[in-house]
Amino acid sequence: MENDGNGLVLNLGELYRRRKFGPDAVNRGAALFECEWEGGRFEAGLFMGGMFRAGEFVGGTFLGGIFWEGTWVDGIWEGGFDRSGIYHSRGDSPGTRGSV
Amino acid sequence: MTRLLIASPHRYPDLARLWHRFVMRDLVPAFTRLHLEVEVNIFCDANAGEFRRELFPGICFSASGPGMRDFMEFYDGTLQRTCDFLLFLDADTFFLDGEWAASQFEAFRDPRVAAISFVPRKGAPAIFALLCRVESYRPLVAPVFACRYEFPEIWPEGINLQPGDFAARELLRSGYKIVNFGAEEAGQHIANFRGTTGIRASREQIIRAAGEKAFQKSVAEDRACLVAAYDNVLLGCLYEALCGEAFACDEAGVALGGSMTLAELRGALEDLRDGKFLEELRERFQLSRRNILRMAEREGIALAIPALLANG
Repeated sequence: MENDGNGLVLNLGELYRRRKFGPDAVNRGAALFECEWEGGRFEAGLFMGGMFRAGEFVGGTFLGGIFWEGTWVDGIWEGGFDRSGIYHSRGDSPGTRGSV
Repeated sequence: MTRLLIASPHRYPDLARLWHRFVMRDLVPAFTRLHLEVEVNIFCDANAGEFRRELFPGICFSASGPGMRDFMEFYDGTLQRTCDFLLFLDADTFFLDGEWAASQFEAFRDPRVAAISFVPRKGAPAIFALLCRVESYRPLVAPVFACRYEFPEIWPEGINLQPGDFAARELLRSGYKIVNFGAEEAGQHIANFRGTTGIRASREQIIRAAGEKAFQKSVAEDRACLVAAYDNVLLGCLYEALCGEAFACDEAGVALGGSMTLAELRGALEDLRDGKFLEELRERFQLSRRNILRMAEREGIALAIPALLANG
């Protein structure tokens, strides 16, 4: 993890568990397990089993977490829950559902 | 004639070959003797092209696609297949005693019995080896079997229902019964491994998204992953002895490179300093060793298992 002057940057090969990341965070390749994402930009990496509360998902893999709110631009939806707790299967991203 | 469908989602053909051996030799004949018409289905959740049909005689294959995009949708899709009873059997769950399994079928004489759970999760019915009466399950609100996250607004304190949990709860509320075997009794008749497919799929996903280093860290910090890695070592021993091929290879063909190689696993264990954690692992590893040796015995072969931890 580094601070590039504009915010927090998470990089390839890093792994975080049960951490909370605010609107200044950018993920460029880290694996996040059971983390909270609150407004930053998710460009690459893995979001696994956590809570995506807000922000932009523009790349990377979403697996088993809750997509509460935010903008799904692109990425791989391997499976996960919407804000009602309903599971959506592989390929059924918030972008294709238009639910957020 | 009453129809039984035995169905299982698989990602890896090597594990599926082990599963297929035990199902076709032990389960299918035992249930057929009950005058059931038995069909066996493998759902290829990934790598469909690698499942060489000639290695799986007697199997009906299905693959992921619209309406059945992954294993979660496979459960509900399969519920709509033509059958009266449905046995979901995980890819790494092996009945050692088909007669015992079939002898439980008489529980369905009681019309209130909706299912038999042969392997529990934390003492409760689970989908690992679940024999369902389909007419009890079909009226439930869809998706019947998919996992759910209840009370997501209080995450992470909400309830993460695993596949089949919601259906079980609805059935019990409606006055149905689920015969639920405890771990001890199940263990006498079933060799059950956990997460052996999950760690292989995780490796693919984590490395693709976050690199090799992140994967190695994720396993080293997680007891369930270390156990799954060891279970793959054991399944690999059996697979190599029976099929003459390396198990869980990576793209370069390295044995166990698609899970965790023996050297990687040893390295991760050597870094552990928590004595209690190590002791828990040792106990769980011993259980897995007993299971693989029972499977080998059922196959009539002797198995050499490499030592892993100090003192075996």
